[in-house]
Amino acid sequence: MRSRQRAHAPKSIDTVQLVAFVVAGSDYAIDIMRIKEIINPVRVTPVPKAPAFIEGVIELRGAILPVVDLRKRFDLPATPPTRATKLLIVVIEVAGRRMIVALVVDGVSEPLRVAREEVRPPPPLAQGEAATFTGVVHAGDDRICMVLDLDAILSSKEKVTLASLSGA
Amino acid sequence: MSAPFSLATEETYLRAIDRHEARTSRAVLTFVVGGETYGVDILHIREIIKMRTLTEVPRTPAFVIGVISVRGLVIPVLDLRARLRLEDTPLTRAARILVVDRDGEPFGLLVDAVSGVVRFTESEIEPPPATLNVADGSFLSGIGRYLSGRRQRMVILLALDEVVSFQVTR
Amino acid sequence: MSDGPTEKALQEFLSEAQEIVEAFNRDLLTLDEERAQGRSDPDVVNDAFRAVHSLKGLSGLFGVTRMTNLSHNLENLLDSLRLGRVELKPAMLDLLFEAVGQFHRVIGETAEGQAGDAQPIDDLIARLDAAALQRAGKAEADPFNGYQLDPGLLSVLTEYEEHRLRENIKAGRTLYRIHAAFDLMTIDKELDALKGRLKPIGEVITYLPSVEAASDQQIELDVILGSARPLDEVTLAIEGLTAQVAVIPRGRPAHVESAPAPEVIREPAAAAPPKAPAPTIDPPPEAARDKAAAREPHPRDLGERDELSLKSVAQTVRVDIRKLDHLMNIVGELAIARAGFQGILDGIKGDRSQVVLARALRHELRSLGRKLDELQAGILEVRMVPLGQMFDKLARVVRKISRDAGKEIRLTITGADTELDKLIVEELSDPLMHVIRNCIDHGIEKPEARAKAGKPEAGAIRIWAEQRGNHVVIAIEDDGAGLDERRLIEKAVARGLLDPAQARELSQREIYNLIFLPGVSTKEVADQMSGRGVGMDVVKTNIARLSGIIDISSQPGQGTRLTITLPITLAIIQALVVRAAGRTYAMPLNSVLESLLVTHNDVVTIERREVMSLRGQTLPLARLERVFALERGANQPAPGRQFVVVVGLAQHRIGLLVDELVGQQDIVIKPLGRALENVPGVAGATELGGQQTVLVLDVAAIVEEAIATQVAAA
Repeated sequence: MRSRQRAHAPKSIDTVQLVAFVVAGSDYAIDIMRIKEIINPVRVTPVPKAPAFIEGVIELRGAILPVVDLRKRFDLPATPPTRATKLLIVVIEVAGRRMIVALVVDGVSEPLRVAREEVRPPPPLAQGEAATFTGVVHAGDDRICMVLDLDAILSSKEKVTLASLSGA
Repeated sequence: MSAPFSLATEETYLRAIDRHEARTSRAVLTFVVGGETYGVDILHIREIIKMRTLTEVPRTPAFVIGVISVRGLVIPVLDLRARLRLEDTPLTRAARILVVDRDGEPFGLLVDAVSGVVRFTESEIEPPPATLNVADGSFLSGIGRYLSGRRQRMVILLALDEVVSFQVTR
Repeated sequence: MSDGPTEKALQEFLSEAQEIVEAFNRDLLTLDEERAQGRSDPDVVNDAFRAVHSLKGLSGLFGVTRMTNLSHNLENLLDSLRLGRVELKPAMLDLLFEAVGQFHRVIGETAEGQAGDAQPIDDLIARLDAAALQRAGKAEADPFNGYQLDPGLLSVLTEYEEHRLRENIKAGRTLYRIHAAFDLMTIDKELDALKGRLKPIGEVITYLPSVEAASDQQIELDVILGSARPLDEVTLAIEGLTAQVAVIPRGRPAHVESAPAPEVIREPAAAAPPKAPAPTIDPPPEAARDKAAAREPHPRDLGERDELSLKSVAQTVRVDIRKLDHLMNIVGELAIARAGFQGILDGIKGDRSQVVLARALRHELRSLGRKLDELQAGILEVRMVPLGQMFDKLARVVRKISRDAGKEIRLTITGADTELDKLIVEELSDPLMHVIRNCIDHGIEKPEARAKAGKPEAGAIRIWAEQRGNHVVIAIEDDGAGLDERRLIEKAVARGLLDPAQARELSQREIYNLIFLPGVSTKEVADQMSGRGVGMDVVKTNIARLSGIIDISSQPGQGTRLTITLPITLAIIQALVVRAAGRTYAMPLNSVLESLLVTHNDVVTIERREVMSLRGQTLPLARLERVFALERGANQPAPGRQFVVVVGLAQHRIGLLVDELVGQQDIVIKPLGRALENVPGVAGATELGGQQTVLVLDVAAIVEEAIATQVAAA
């Protein structure tokens, strides 16, 4: 179901609002301000000769959006979609352009409101993907969510490719 | 590299939403009568005119406050307060006559003030509650809720067909 | 209010007439020139015809009888010229130029208020008529070129049709007879469709009702077509229609019979001078008949009209009447704008520094006003259609019903060329149809009963129409048993519409008019034809909706006459603007008989009803403010002197008390919309300029109400 944001101003500059979600059993979070909407999976149309990082495209109300599978991005095994599978429709800045991308996730867990200082630096464990994460937060139940840096999930080359497909 | 499609930027994405909303939602003209906010689908509104001298018509129900000429047509004007059996409050300069259209037949509805236009999707409109402080629930077609600033607001949507149906018996 | 036109209007008419006569003169000069060169432009003849036609109409309005008569006869001559019936000879041109001189003389004398001499005009008219009768055709040895046509057919053809028939034969075309069946309800459309198919391949000379119809719902016609095409092409043209085609062979009579019953006699319309006396049931006097015959020498003038329109099809356009309504609305709005300018003019009138401007403005306004009037008259004229087509429909219905009812009916129709607004004609056909049904079912007795009463076995129904000023009167008369007063009273009493005590007070006329009350005219047992639950009350309502008045009179054993008086048009009417209790209303002038200034002393109360004495008669009064329950504001006290507007509905008269008479104005009545269309006493609304919207009173309804309350109070 669509739940479009109606321009809520953050309570204070010192808190961040995040949305937590699951990819291949691990918890992640992204800044709520980057999420346009969360939708149920729709049919993904494969695109011949498309760059590998694009699974295909979906059509949402007449707009064509590229689909990026986060599991592949993280080199995690893909699982068949379940009822919990969602698409996060997010804004990614590429080559000076604000593109809309659909991210496949295994489930959306909860919105988080945390003080800025509660966002800790990423642990050395996630070294290989260090560039992709800006920090970690505790999400209750002793769960730890890795805060995803959306602008870093695509390489510069991929971003240029994506921008070139925006046509505009 | 050319592609048979072009991926959405934020701008085209937002435009697609607007177009979609325009297609699937109803624009409702909201106005105030007796302190409540009411609404009528904007498709039914021909125009909004300032209060002007009415020509009274004898032998009509009290809520028919007269006729006016609008673009060469003579149309009856109903006092919406009287029609909805609300308390009488004095008119101010904000009073307007909504020229509405019902099956091609124009009517004027006198309201205290016009507020604006609000868009509702079908899911944002509830059926009218059984009890409401309007004596006759048949004049209502639903309740629309929306946010104005941070406040929840409510619009009583009028069943225009009912409002403008009345009998003048010989 | 005086009947005659105002001095100002008369002067305006005269200057207009002057212009038209001058244009007519120019046309004649052109004709003369062309004749000398051996050619003739039909457009010029048409122009001249139109000029004379306008003169006839205008002078009729202003009661300048000599001009009307002369233009009427000129019109005939020019019509003959137009149709090629007569040839333009120098002697005829002399006559036409003489007419120009006479027109100038009449205009001059009328301007000076002189009655003038009618003799020279009558002399000229006689010579014009004689000229119109001089046929162009030379006697031919065998006009029908070997065709032996049924004399029965020839006798029903109009002159024009006969002329076309000869022309077709002369041109060596084959005559075809196409027998086609039409649904009674859709005959007009179907016939148009058939004509449309035939037009490209030939000329429809005439169509006549066939003898036998296959079913009651159908009417069959024989169409005579002249065509140069072979039979198979004609057959192809009508493919898909329920019609058969046959060649009318040479040397054998074309077998076309006209329907034997009812015998439809078409009398030419009596020449109606502007203030014709009320027609009687008697046929028009011989003199009038002769004159009419000279003007329209053929009994079926309507058939000819149809043919004419066929012939001049390239110059006619079909227009949606709503477009004309729209144009009329615009004219109304222009009149309002003009009133606005008048207001500006009035505003600067007293200002000495604006004298020049005011004069210029007044001048322009006057000419604008005149042009607006012309525009309005033009649009109204376009809306006018002759009643003939509807009368034809009635004739078919008479034929069918009389056969079903086993009664023989002789139907006479007069005044089929009387014109009415198309919308009114359309709305009229159902009510008239019903009246005719009533006539045949209830009015005309069975043949045996008629024989016993010493009447001819065939019942006579006469329908006539004529224009009287801005109204058209249509009457339907039968020579049947007449209305049964006792039954009418019994029924009205039984229906609770009348109490027996009241019944004794009623005049004979009032008793006859009981037939228009709901339930009085409906039969208890529904029969096939008239027992559809529709009574005369519905007829009356329909007529009232057209601002018409219906009246009935009867002579026991001798017959019944129903008269319907209708305004010529509903699009624009003259209205009297009045004020009562601070409100302004418009009253259609056609329902206003007169208006009087009265004081309190003139009004007397009898049995709690206000009345006044008018020329020895007691006139019941109704105060408009009470009729409409108007509240008088503190600043609107009832004036000491008030006006009584005397209004009438059939024989009923009442005086409507109002505070003030504002004046007369042409208005366009606009409906109040579906929601308010039934407000009793209100016919609609109109704009009076300065954005002022006022209600137009439904005078008939108000009078009726007043009478009803009187009866109730009595």
